[in-house]
Amino acid sequence: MGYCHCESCRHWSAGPVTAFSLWAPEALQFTKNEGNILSYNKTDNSFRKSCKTCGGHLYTDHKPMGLVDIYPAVIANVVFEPSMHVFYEVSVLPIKDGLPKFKDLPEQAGGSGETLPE
Amino acid sequence: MSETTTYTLSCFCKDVEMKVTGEPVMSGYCHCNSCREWSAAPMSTFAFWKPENVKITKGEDKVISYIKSDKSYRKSCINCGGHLFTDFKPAGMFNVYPLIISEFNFVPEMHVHYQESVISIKDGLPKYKDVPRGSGELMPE
Repeated sequence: MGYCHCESCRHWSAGPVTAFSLWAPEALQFTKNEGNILSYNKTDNSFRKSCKTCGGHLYTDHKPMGLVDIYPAVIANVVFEPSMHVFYEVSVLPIKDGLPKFKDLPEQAGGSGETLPE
Repeated sequence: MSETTTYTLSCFCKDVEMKVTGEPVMSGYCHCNSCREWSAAPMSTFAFWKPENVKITKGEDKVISYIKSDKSYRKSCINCGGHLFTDFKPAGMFNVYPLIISEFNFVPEMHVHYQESVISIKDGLPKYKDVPRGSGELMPE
């Protein structure tokens, strides 16, 4: 779990920063109105899912990573425990919380692993 | 920057394009539950423009509007789901999300609905418990 500062997340959400929680795809089940989900992919990395009725954002399927980012902001009872900031290089909102600030992504996620000052 | 400055913006897929003219009446960060749930982000931003200074220049038929309360008509693109603006009808203001406006210098003045905040931001700006014209009460960072 953590915060994402990338330009795509910010533009899609129109927010200053987004939050992620990555899950194995099989952890996610649809219990109502799966057909009402809009999917948009600007790149093959991210299939962004929202509700066709209200435009509310739900999750993003990062297919090549084999993980789904279910936005913790919309999960009713999850305890959000962020462990890092990613894509801090393009941040528009500095957050002084003591967590590691990755320039792009951690090495194990295919990034440079470099960290930046807060 | 002047009264006649025009800025442009688009949704994430660029099917919808808009322009805003002049400068916003008020700008800042919003921490309310509704903004957070709709955007699925830990906080949101606002820049209020008078409706007459906001125009949809392309793809108006692709803009969906959702109203949970009569206060906020939330607008997004039906192709990409990208968020565009919110029409606060009773307030007579459009919140055109400032961080998607091209070449626009977002100068936040305050945080609103900080009592609902899930993230603490230590930037020295005033933190309103609700809104300035609500209780007007301030909170610590």
